[in-house]
Amino acid sequence: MTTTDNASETVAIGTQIAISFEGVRKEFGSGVNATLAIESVDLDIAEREFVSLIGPSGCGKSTLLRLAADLIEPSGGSVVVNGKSPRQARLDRDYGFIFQAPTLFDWRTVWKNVALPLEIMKISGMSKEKKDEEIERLLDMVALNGFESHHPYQLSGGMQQRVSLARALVFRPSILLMDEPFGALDEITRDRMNLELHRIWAETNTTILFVTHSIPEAVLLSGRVVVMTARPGRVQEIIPIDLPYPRTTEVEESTRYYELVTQVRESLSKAMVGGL
Amino acid sequence: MSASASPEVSPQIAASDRFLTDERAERLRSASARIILILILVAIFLGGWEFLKWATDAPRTTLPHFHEVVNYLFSTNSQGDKVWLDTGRNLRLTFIEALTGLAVAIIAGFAAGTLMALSRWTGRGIMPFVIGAQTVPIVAIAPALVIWLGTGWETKALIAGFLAFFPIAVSTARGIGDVSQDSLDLMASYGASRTEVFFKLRLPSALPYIFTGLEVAAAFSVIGAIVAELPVGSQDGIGVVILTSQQYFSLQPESLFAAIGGACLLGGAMVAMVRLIQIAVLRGHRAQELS
Repeated sequence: MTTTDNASETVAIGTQIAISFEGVRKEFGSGVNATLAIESVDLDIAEREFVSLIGPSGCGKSTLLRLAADLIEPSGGSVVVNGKSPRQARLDRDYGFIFQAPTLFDWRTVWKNVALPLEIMKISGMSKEKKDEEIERLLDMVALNGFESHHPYQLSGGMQQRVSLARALVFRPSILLMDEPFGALDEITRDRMNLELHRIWAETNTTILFVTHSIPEAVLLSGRVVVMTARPGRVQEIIPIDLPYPRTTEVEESTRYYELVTQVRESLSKAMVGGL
Repeated sequence: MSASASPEVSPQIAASDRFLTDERAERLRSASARIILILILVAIFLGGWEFLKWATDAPRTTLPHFHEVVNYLFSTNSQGDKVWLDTGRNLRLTFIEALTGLAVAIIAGFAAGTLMALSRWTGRGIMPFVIGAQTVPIVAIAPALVIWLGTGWETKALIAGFLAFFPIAVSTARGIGDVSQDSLDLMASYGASRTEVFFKLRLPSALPYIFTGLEVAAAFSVIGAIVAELPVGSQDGIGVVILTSQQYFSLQPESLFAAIGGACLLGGAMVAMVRLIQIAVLRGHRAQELS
């Protein structure tokens, strides 16, 4: 990874592999009704890297994410997360998963929603004070202090998704798996969330695998954009994004940004043709 | 960080405060609206009663005046007791029967509903019995149960519980089973055990469903207890009062209406009790699920 060479502020990307897909194949159903969702996907994601998966609907982006999360199992090939099987990585709480819907529990307050993973994980040697401190730190990070005792239905969609972000980060996972997290938000909120996410990524030592439908979003946030073909999903092209860090609104107005958006768009239209 | 965030947060806080105040005012408005609605309904009911009597020119032995029924309640019966005291004593017994039945139904219904939702095979085994419990004509089976188990209050509690079981079992099964795949995936991503998934996700999200079933069950338990009192041999209970009042209807028509009114009040009180518990338990749940 040398994409950060000409960056004004370098972001150190590790040399260790966080997530590795090798010849991965996933079939849903069986017999005549079987559909091949993804086929022979090879992809390595380095520690501290921010990688976006983009592609037409049904290209298996989410499938790839769920395979890494051990929410489904591959039909062939191998997935390795932090040098372990996805199952072991899940049980070790190596990753936080963020869904398109905030998936908050309505009967819990914002504070209790963020506390949920800590309740379940019973992290040894973590006192109640330490947990409270951690929750407060994260609510601060996503700018939700003052909303601790609100219930999710009292918040806007953007605020709800920020709660879910805080909840995913509260146990300090080394990997974040994000499945179109801001897809349901309006564009203004989405822009703000993107910059916020990018700041959080730069502040923490997190590897992010990010599924999106939006080309500008993918280019703005990522170190690399993985373009996938439609049914069955394959990797069409991996485009390195050599934009400077930190990614701000100025970056969004640069010529290089537009060139990269065009490059991804062209690659994506080729992928679409391949899928038809 | 917090300095840069505060300008965008403060308008949101303001908006949310306005939201809460609106919610409180709205709740107050809906509460007073409800009381007014109830008063209007009572007026319509009494007006309709008296209008019906006037329009059909019904004699006292078909439909007495409402005030005659009220007067009867304050009169003294053949045993020298105040009628309202005697009715209250009978209602109390029926209440105990219904409440005991409801408690048994809650335990059995919750267990059956949970099994139906979580265990495919046990669930399939239980289902026919639950359906069976619903289709058995309780009026037909009550006399047989009284013969087998005696005329004690426990028999009536059992029949009340039998009737209340079905709505609780079904609503529990619905609630426990109706959890989004995302929520389950979320819990899986934390490596949560089955027990944790049940107590932290399934049960709290099922509570609004369960309380809906519980409300129906509360009404059913009163019906069950009254029906169980009807077979010959019972001495006390509002069901017995209804039966005797019917036999002496031509002499004392007011007593039947008083007994019916008492039974209605009992059913209403049971449902209201469940509602109050529901409001206390579901405080944190969505507001619309409470109303």
